[in-house]
Amino acid sequence: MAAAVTSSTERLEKRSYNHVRTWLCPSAGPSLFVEIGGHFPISTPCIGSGDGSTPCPWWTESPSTWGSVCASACGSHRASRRGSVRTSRNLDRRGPPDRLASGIGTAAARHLSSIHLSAVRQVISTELRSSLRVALPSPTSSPLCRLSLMRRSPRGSSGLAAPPSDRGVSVPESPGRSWPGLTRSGFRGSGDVSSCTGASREAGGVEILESLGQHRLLSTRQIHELHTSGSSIRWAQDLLGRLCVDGLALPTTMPGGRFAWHITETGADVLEEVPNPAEERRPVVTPEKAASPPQVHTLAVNEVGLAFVRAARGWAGTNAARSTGSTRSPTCSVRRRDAARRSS
Amino acid sequence: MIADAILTYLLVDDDGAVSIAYRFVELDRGNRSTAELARGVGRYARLHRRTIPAEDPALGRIILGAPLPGVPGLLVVLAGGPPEALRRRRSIVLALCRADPMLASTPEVEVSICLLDDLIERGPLAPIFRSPERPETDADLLGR
Repeated sequence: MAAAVTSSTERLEKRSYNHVRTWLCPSAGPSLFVEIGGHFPISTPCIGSGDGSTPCPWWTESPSTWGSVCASACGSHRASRRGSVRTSRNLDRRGPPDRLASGIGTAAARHLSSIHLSAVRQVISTELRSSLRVALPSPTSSPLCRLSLMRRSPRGSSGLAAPPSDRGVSVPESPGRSWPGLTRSGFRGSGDVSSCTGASREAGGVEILESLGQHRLLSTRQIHELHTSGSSIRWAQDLLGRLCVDGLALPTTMPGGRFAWHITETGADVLEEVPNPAEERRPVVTPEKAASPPQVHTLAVNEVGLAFVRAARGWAGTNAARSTGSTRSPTCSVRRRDAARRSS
Repeated sequence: MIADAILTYLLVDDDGAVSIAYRFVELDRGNRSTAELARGVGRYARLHRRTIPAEDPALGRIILGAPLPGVPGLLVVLAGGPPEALRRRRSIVLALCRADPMLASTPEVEVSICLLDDLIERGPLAPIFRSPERPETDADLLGR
C-alpha cells in the first residue's frame, strides 16, 4: 500500500463527504489516492497528475476495492479495476444509484498541491452533482431490538468472562438521534433515525456488514429479512455478492445448499472505520468455524432475534405515531398466512 | 454458564411510556437432556445470588457482561423437534425448574420457555411463554 500523506490538511467542501484520505501513488509518480466516504466509499477516486492513460497498478493492492475512479489532473479520467476502464462520468454505473446518494458530510484532503487540489475538487463536484440527481427511496420498516450473541470465553472461565463491550447489550437507537453523513444506512436520506424508530430504511453494505459482525453468522434469508425486506432477495444477494467480491464477507454452505455469511478480517477492519459503531470489534469467525456444526445453533439463535424484529416491525406498523409509512413487513406476512390458514 | 445471547427489546406502551426488556436467551435444540437443561436454567438463579466482593467492583461487570440494570430474565427457546415433542420437553423442564430450590427461592429470576416455531409464527407478544410458576398458563413476553 502506498504511504499515507500526513502533513497539512485542507478542507475541500464542507458539504461533500465524511472524510477524504489521500495516499501517495508510488507507481504513478506524484499522484494521489483519495478515498471518499471511508468505510463505505461513495467512490474512491485516484487523482493522478501524469499521463491519463497510465494505469494505476497499485489500485488492485488497495484494501478499498469499492468502485473506483482514476482521474488525472490533465483532465483525462481513467480508472483501472480488474481490467476495466471507466471514466468519472460512469460513477453512477458502478452500483445501485442510492449508494451515491447520501454521503454528505465533510471532506478533508491532505497534502494536496494546487493542481491536485483542483482535480480533487473537480471530481468531488462531479460526484456531488451525480449524487444529487439520485432520487432517494422511501424508508421501510426497521427493527427495534438487537440481539447480542454471547461468546465463549477465550480464557476458559466458567463465568461470563468476555469483556463487557464484546457481549454487551446494544441499546436500541434512541428517537431523534441523527447519524452524521454517510453511515450505516446512510446511502440515502438525511440519516435521521427519529423517522425510523420502529421502521427502518433499506440497508446497504455497511448495515449488513455490521450485522454480520454482530451476529457472527447469518443466512441470506435472515439478512434479507433484516435489512432488505422491502426489496427482493436478489438485492440482498447482490449486496452480499459485492461484500464477498471485496473480501469483506464470506459465504459458507449450510445443509441444503443455502449460504450463511460471516465477516472477514478485512470486513472487521472496515467496520472499525464506521462512525458510531454499534459495538466494538468482535473476534472474526473463521471460515472453518463458520462451516462447523455449531453454525446451526448460531443461526437458530439469530432466528430468535429475528422473530423479535418481526414483532417490532409489526408493532410499528400498527402504531401510527411511530410508523413511517412502512408498507410491508414480515410480521404482516405471517399474519396474512395465519389468516389464510384460519379461513381455509 | 454462558447465555447464547442477550436480547434488548424496546417496548413502547400506548401511552408512550418506554421500557426496555432484557433477556438472556438460551436456545435448546434438544441435544442435551431435560435434566441438564433444567440445571442450566437453575444456574441463572445462582448467578443472581452471587455476591460481588466489594474490593473488586470490576467483577460485577464481568458477571453481567454488560451495564445491565440487573440480572435479566431468562428466555429459553426450544427447537430441533416436532412441536408435540417440544411441548412435552417444555413440561418436563418446567417441572424440574419448579423442583429446583434455588430457582424457587429466587423469584427475581424470571424464566419463560417457548417454542421457536411459536416464536416465529406468532411473535413474542403472543401468549406463547410458560414459566415454572404458571406451567399451564400461556403468557406473552411480559408475563401478561
